[in-house]
Amino acid sequence: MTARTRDRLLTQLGVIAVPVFILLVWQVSSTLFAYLFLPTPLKTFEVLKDGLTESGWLLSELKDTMIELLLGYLLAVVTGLMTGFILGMNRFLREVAEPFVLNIYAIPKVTLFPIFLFMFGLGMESKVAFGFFHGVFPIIILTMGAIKDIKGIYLKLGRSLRLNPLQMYKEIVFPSTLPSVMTGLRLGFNLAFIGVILGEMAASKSGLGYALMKSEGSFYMEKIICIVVVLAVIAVAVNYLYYAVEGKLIRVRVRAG
Amino acid sequence: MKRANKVRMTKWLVLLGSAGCLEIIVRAGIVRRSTLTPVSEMFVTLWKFFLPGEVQARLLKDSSIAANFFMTFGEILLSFSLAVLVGFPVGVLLWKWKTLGRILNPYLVSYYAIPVFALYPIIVGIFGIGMLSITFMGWLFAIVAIIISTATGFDEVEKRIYPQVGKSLRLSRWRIFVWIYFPAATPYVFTGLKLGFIYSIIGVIASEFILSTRGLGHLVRFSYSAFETEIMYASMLLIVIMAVVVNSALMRIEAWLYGRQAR
Amino acid sequence: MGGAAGKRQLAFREISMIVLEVRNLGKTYSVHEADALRVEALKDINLTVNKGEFISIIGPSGCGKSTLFGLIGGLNECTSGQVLIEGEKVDGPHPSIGMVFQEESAFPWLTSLENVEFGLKMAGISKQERRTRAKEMIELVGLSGFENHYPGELSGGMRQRVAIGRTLVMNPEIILMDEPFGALDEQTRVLLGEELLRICDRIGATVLFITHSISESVMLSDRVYVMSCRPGTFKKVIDIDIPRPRSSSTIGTKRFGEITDEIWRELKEETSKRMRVDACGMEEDRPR
Repeated sequence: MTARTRDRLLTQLGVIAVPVFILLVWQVSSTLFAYLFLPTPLKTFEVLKDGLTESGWLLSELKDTMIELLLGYLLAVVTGLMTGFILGMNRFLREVAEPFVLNIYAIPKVTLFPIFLFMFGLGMESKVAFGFFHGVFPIIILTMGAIKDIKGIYLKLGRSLRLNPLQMYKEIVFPSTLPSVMTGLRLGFNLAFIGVILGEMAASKSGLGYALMKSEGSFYMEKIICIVVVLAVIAVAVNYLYYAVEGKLIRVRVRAG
Repeated sequence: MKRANKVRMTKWLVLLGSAGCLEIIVRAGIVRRSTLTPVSEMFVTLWKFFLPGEVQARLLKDSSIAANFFMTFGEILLSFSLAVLVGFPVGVLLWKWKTLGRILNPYLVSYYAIPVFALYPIIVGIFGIGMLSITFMGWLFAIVAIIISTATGFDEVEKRIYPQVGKSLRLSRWRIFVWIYFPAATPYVFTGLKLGFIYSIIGVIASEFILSTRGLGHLVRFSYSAFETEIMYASMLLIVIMAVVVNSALMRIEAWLYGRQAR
Repeated sequence: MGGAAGKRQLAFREISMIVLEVRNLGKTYSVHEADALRVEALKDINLTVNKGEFISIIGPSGCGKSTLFGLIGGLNECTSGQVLIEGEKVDGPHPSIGMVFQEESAFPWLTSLENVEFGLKMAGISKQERRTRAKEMIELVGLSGFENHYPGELSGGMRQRVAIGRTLVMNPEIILMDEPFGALDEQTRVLLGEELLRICDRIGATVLFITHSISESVMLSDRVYVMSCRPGTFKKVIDIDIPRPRSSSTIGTKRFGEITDEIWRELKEETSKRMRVDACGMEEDRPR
C-alpha cells in the first residue's frame, strides 16, 4: 500500500472517528459528572424519536421553523440575486452601495430585531423578514463580486464571436459566476437560518428556537440536545447538498481558468 | 477624480436622505412615537448616555449606561483575546499536521452553518447566567474563523518560494517559521483576526440580547420591554456605530497588508 | 577592472581552482499512485565550474533544469552521483552556495535594504556592519535611492535585483541562478544581463546560470551546457570564445550569430521531440 493510499484511509477513518469520539465523551460525562445533569445519548435518542413520531412536538415546531426559513430564504435569494446583478453591472451604484452592504454585515443584527417586531408583529412574519434580512447580504455581496470579476477577456471573446445576450449568459456569464454565486447562496442560507432561530429565541410563540428557550426554562436537557441535534443535522445536510450541486455543475461547465 | 467625488457625495446623500425620511415620518405622525424615535432625538439620547442623570435613573437603578457599555466591551475583548490565544496555535497545528487538518476540515467548514446560539441553553446550564456564558459564546463564535484563516494563511505561504529562500540560507526550521512564515502569513491571519473580532462583537451582543443579563445587548431588549423606545433606539445606534467603525478600521488595515504583496 | 578580466582569462583556458563539480548525478522519481512507475528525471550529469567562470545551462522547458538547480543547491537529494563544492560533498544547502530563484523571492514585508541584509541578520552580524554591507550591495545592484521601498512598490526587474543583492551580500563562492530574468520582458532582460556582467566583473563572481534563452546564455557565459530531455542529460558543451568585456552590442556580431546557430541546432531537436511527447510530460519540478 502506498503512502498516499494509507494517508487517505487514515483521513477517512479519522473523519468518522470524530463523532464517535464525541458520543463516547458524552456518554462518559453523563454518567461520571452527574452534577451537569447531562442525559445519556440513549435517553436523548428516545426523546428524539418520541418528538418526531409519538407526541410529535419536535415535528410541529420544526415545521414552523422550516416554513419561516424557506420563505425568508427564497425572498433573500430573489432579492439578493437581482440586487447583486444590478450592482455588479453598474460600477457607480456598486461603489456607492458597497460600503453600506459590507458594514451591515458586521452589525449584530439581532439587536435590530425589535424593529422587525414593530413592523411585523410577534407572529411568523417577523421571523421571515428577519431571516430575509440576514440572508440577503451575503448573496448580494458575492453575486456583485462575481459579476464584477467576470474576466474582461471572456466578454470580449463573446462580443467578437457576436453572441446574442442569451448565449452570452449561458456560455460566459453563468459558468464564470457560478462558484461565487453558489457560495453566496450557501452562506445566505446559513445566515438566514441563524436569523430565524435567533428571532424565535428572542420573541416567538412557535418554532425550534422558541422550543429551545422553553425547554431551557424547565430544564429539559434531553429536549434541548434533541433540538440542537436536529438543527445541526439540517445545517450540515443542506451545506453538503450545496457542495455536491456546486461540484457537479462546476465540473460540467467550467474548464481551466 | 470627479467620479470618486460623485460617489462620495451620493453615499452621504443616501445616508442623510434615509435619516431624513425616518425623521419626517415620525414628526409628521405617520409612524407613532412608540415605535420609532426621530433620528435627531436618537443622537440626543445617545449623548445623554454618557452624562450622569435622568436617563440612568429612569432605566437602571443600580448601574449606569456607561458601565454597561464597558462591560460589553470588556467581554468582547476578553472573548476575542482568548479566541486568538487558542485559535492561532490550533490553526498552526492543523497546518503542520496535515492529516489532522484533513480530518477536521469537513467539521470546521460546516461549523458556521450551525446556529451556534442554539447551544446557549446548554452553556447556561453549565456556566450559569452571567459574564462567563456570554464570553464563552463570543469565544465559540470567533475561534473557528481564526483557526481556518491561520491554517489557510500558512498553507498559502508554503506554496510560495519564500520558505525555500530560508532553506537556501540554511536557517533552522524554527527560524524559517518565525522570520518567514509568520510575516508572510500576516495578511491572511489578519483577515481571520478581523472576522474573529466581528464575530466576537456579534456573539457577545447577541447573547446579551437573548440572555438578558447586562451590557448593551441587554439594554436594547430591556428598554424594548419597558417601552422606553428612545433609549432602545439610542442603544441600537450605539451598537451600529461601534460595529461600523471597528469594521471599517479593520478593513482598511487589511487592505494595506494585502497591498504590500502587490505584484 | 583589468585585474578581474585578467583573472577571467586565466580561468578560461586553465584549470585553476574548481569551485563546483558534479559527478554522474542522477535523479529518479517514483510516481505517486503506483510506486512501481519510476521516472528518471536526470541522468549522467557531469559538470565543472572553475573560479571566476560564468557557466550556463540551457535546455527546453521541462527537461529538469530546475530539478538540477535544486539538487546542486542542496535543497533536494540526488538518487545517484554527487555534488562537490570546493571538494566537499554537498548534502544540504552549503554556505558557499548562493541561490537566486526563478519565482519572485524578495520578501514583500521587508524594504529592499532589509531584504538584502536578511541573510546577514540571520547570521548574527551586527546591525552597523550589516547596514554598511547591505548599502554597498544596494549600490552595486543599481537600487540606490530605493532602499526604503517595499518590493510591492518596485518593478519586476528591480525586485529581482533585490533578490540578487540578498544572495550576493553573503559572499558565496558560487552563485546559482534559475532563470532569474524569466518573468521579464526582452529589453529588461538584456539590460539586466548587462548589469549582471558588470556586477560579476566587479566582484569576480563565479556563476552557474540556468536559462532557456539562447542569446542570454551566449552573451553572458564562458561555456554553455546544452541539455536534452527525458532523461535530462548534457548533450553538448559549447565554449563561448567571444572576448570579454561583453555587452548588449555583442548580440549583433558574426561570432555571436554562429554560436547561437550551433546551440539552436542542438536545441531544435530536443524541443521538437518535447512538443510531440508533451501529453505525458514531466513537470518542471520546483526544489522542494
